[in-house]
Formats: sequence, C-alpha cells, structure tokens
Amino acid sequence: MNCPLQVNEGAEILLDYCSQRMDPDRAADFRLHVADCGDCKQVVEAQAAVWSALDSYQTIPVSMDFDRKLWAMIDADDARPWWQRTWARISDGPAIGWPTYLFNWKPMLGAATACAALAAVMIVNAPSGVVSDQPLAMDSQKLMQNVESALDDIDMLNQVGVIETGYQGTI
Amino acid sequence: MEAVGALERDAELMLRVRAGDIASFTLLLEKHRGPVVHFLYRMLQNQPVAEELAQEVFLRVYRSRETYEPTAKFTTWLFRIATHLALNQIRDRKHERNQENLDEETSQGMTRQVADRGPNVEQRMVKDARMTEVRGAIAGLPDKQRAAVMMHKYEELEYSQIATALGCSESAVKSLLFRAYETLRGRLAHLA
Repeated sequence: MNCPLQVNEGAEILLDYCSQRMDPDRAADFRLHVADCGDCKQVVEAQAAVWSALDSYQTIPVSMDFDRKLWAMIDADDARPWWQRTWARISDGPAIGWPTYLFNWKPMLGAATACAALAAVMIVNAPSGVVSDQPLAMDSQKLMQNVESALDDIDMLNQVGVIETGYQGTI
Repeated sequence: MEAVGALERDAELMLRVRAGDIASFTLLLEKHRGPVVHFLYRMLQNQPVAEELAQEVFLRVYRSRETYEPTAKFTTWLFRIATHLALNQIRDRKHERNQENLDEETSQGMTRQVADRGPNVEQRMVKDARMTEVRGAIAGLPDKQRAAVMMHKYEELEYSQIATALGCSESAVKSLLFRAYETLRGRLAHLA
C-alpha cells in the first residue's frame, strides 16, 4: 500500500480510517501499513487522541419547553397575514436550498449596473427623429416666413404694376 | 443534492406533513430535536441561542412543507438549514462575542454536566479542564471547518451530505476536515 501521506487521496484515507468508516479489508491493509510507517503511525495516534477528546464533549439535555415554544412559533407564524408568510418563505430560500444566486446581491448589482449602462447608451444613440422635433419645427416656421415674404413682395409688385398675376389678396 | 433511491422513512414522514399530517411532523421533531440542538450547541457554545435556532430550523421545515420534494436525505436538508442559520448567527454576532460569555457558559454548563458523575473533586477538575480545552479548540476553528467537524464527528453525516449542507464540493469538505483535524491534533493531542 502506498503511504497515504504521499498520495492525493491521503486525507480521505486517514479520515476514513480514524473515524472507522473504512471498509474492513482496506482498514486491514492500512493497519499493516501503519505498523511500518512512522509518519502515518504518528498521525493516527494523534487523531485517535483528538477523537477521544471530542468524545468527551458532552451536551446538555434539551429544555422541557422546547416543543411548546416551537408550536407557539408555528401558531404565531400561521396567524400572520398571507403576504408576511409569503415573504418569510422567500426569505427562507437560501436556507432551505433554493439556488443562492437568486439571493446574492452582488451579481444582481452587476446586472443592474449593466442594464443602466445599456439604457443610457440607447438614449444617447436614439434616432434623430425622436429627439430633433424642435429644429424641424424651426425649419417649418422659417419656410412659412419666407413664403409670406415672397407673397408680400408679389402683392407689392402687383400693386405697382410691375408684374401681372392672378393673385388678388393676402394669405 | 444526492438522489434518494428508496424513499427513506424521514422523507416519507415529511411527505405526509406536506399532505397535512401534523403527527408526522411531531415524529420528525422527536427524532431530530436532540441532534439539531446538540449540533447548534456545539457550533455556538450557547444553550439558549442553540435552542432558539433549533426552533427556527423546525419552523422553517414546517413552513416549507408545501414545497418539500424528497430530492435528498431529510437529514441533509435539515442540517443544511441548521448550518445556514448557525453560520449566519456566528457572522451576525461575531462583533459582540467575547470570551466572558464562553467562560461563563463553560463553568455553568460543566457544573451541570459533571455534578453527579465525578467521584471526587480532583477528577471533576481534570474533566472540567479537559472539556474547557476541547471547547476552546473547537471554538478556535474557522466557522466552516467547525461545522464540517461537528457534522462529521457527532452527526456522522457522509461527505456528500456535509457538502450539501455547506454548499461546497465533496473534495472541499475533505480538505476542510483534514485541515480542521490537523489543527485539533496540534491542540488536543496532549490530552491522550
């Protein structure tokens, strides 16, 4: 057997052996290896000490009123308005396993910035017909003034008899 | 999430909860109450907070009953919720956490735990000191490493389950565990 400390899957081998999750045949092989390998022996002994120390970490019993408090929370939750319960379910999403990207504000911020930049570019580069109404209106006004001026000139020439037209009045 | 071949008992119960059977939720609560509270207690080292968070875990399980799908082992899902809440709690309270709380909790908790077990004062003191060292070593681990060790050592979850609970790959879990145990070996090996 290759030394676990020298191979990629060494961590898994040591973890499995020390936590007694290794299948018996493989464990027997590893035990033989440990007998001859000082480094592995040292790790296994130290890990056994850690395992034993962790075993001594006891917890204290659950409070007697744990369930009562939980059911009170459930009742209070059921009594909330529908929109609050819906919001609570959405808020629970990351914890209960919904995809985290739905709740990660950083990518959302990036996407929002990109959308804003795109909108700005579209406004700036919009077709001229949309944004140039005013110059067009000014051109029309000038044209009308020119037409009126021309008609006035014709009217005046008409009156002094320089030209003969069918035109008899003002616009 | 790992697929569940034959529908496990807990998933069956949860599907009954989804159908409106409250008694099945009570059965799930009875079975998993202890492990969830103990996991959160070891993560946070504070009994009242651990119980409050455990209640929040079961509330979320109950609230999610209508959308529950047995795509993974029930315990994977349960510890995913518990881990998420524990890591959030640690993150939110990091700035206000101090050693005084830990010491106070240690002394109170230990008195309760060993009061009727140690045959004499000296043995009790040795046990107290050992427990304090273990708690300190665990508390000193980075949050994700601590969660991984708690699920691996005490809840005996598989690597794939721990990976799902922590939202990382199996190889990342093995790496987390190896580094965590390496740190613990450095701190606790002398207790052998």
